[in-house]
Amino acid sequence: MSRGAPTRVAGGGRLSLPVVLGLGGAALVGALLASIAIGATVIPLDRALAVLAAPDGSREAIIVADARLPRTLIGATVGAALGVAGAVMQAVSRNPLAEPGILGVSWGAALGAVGAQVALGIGSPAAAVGFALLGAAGAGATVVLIGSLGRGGLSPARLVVAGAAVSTLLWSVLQGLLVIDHASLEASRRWLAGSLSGRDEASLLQVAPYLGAGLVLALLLARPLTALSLGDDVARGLGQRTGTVKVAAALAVVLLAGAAVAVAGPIVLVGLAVPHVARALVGRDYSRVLPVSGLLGAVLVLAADVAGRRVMPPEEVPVGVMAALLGAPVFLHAVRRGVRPL
Amino acid sequence: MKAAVRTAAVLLLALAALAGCGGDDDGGAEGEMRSVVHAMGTTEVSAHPERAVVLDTGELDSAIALGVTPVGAVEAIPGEGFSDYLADAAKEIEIVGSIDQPDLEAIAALEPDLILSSKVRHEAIYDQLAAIAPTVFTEDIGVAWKENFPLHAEALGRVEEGEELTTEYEADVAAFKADMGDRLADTHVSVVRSVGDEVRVYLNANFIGTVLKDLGLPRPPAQDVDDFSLTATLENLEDADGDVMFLSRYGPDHPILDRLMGSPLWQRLDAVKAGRVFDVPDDLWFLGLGNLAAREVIADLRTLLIDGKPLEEPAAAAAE
Repeated sequence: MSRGAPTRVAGGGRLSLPVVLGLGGAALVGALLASIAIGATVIPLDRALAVLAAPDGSREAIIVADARLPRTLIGATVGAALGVAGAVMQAVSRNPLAEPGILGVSWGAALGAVGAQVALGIGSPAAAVGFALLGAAGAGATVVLIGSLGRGGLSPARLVVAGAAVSTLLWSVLQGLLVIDHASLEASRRWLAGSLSGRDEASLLQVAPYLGAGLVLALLLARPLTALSLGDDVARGLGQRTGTVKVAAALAVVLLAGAAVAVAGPIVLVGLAVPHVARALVGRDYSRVLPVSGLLGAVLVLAADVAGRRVMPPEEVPVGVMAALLGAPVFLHAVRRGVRPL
Repeated sequence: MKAAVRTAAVLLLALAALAGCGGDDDGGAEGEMRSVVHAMGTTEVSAHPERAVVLDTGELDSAIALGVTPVGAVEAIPGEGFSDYLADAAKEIEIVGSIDQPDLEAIAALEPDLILSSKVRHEAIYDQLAAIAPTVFTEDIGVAWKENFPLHAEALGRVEEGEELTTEYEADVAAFKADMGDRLADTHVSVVRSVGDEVRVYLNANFIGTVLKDLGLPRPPAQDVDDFSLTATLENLEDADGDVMFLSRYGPDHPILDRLMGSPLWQRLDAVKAGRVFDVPDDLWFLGLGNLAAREVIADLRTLLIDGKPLEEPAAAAAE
């Protein structure tokens, strides 16, 4: 997608915002249409749209309305949430590797949801949204706390190491719970790989309020985040109350990542890859980076999900696996450039 | 953990050696040995093992079918105990971990004289098991149950009983075919199993697939495939259709199955329209994997397809 990240520190990207939004919007429409038309059964696009507009009770109409539409909407929303969450985290931490997966937030959400499932006998992790949010908040706070210990405070490298350590710990606890509770393992196996299969409107409605609130909050923070991404000193110099902004940003991340994990399982690297591409396209002004990240996140997750349906039909490759494959090159690029402040 | 197991094994071996040196063997159990050729090589096994430990459901089924109550066995699902159909026979068996994690210390403590399992399950711990007691492995489980059974019988010193039971299975098969008569050819059987957040359509290459093939019950074209299973979604739900559908649930929660069954597409399946979707016990149809379970499955099929009666609800399932 990107032709290499620009090395300029500030200012606009290579393309103007309307052009990027136009192209991104077109890509999103394409991904939405593909997600409606392509599955284990391929339904011709005109037919898919016709039965979507006017359901005729046919098999195609039911598949489109009951399976593909909710799944498509969830994929787009989750992708947007992860893209925006990653952008917010990278802005606040000034860390090119920050994203919900790497900094443990997603695993906190996963442990919260599975923990509730095991302890309270909730049928599936997707039903435990509140616990996913709590887990996300707890994991995020722990990572920041551990990363801040010792001299020198919270450096980007420390944050990533703390994130890796906490992620590993959470993953181990999660595995431990599932070894003990066999039924929960069976009920969350696909979800744990990151999956949109079998989701319905009810799943979307469960998480939509949190995702909506998180997106709105993140967009409201766009200007303060731009200042903060230039460093605490700059932000303070501009009269910003950096503490308040950081807490609000953390809340947005918890809402976005927690709810996304609850409905779709832990999907990693989307939050990392998307903001890099967004900054390459539109520069470092977060009032541009955030909407573009949302747009590209939606496109990436939808594309990954559609691809996963066609790799070996009728079996599906979980969207989490496909998204990680698509996000990995950007991750490697970011690592190669080194973990240094953005 | 590993070190403890090794120590225990070494101690046991030492004890065994001491007992051997003592010279006053109590009976033929330790004296007579014979060679059993199996998936991991050749193993000397006592002529009539009395303290067998089995590490999977198929081996447990075989042992009980052959009239040998193992001293120890693993659970399929931790904490759930043994399958209902084994009933009283399984009551005295000690639980030695789960299929995924056999408890080597507990196995060693039972001082077994034979351990039965398979390469596909426990190849990684074969050496540790073999240090505890003579260990006989089959290559595979499930789909290979009919080839495994004679090996289990040989290892347990019950070759004749094994042959008799195989003959009885074949007689059950022949009687079922005869009583189904003309209906056999046009009863395409679909097998669907909900496992947590996945709904599987079972194909030919598994235990239940082999039993249905033996019985001459045809499968729908989508299921007449030499593979284990395929995943059912709304998209390919018609692959789960047949003249009759046998439906099984493993575990307590079935979100995806509930969703599929709630869809109008489910109502359009031929088996559903004909009222020919039958709930079947998971432990017999999918967990038993042996002679005993296979013959119970045939009995279930006879009840449902020939007598046209519902299956009796086992007490445990009814209580859920």
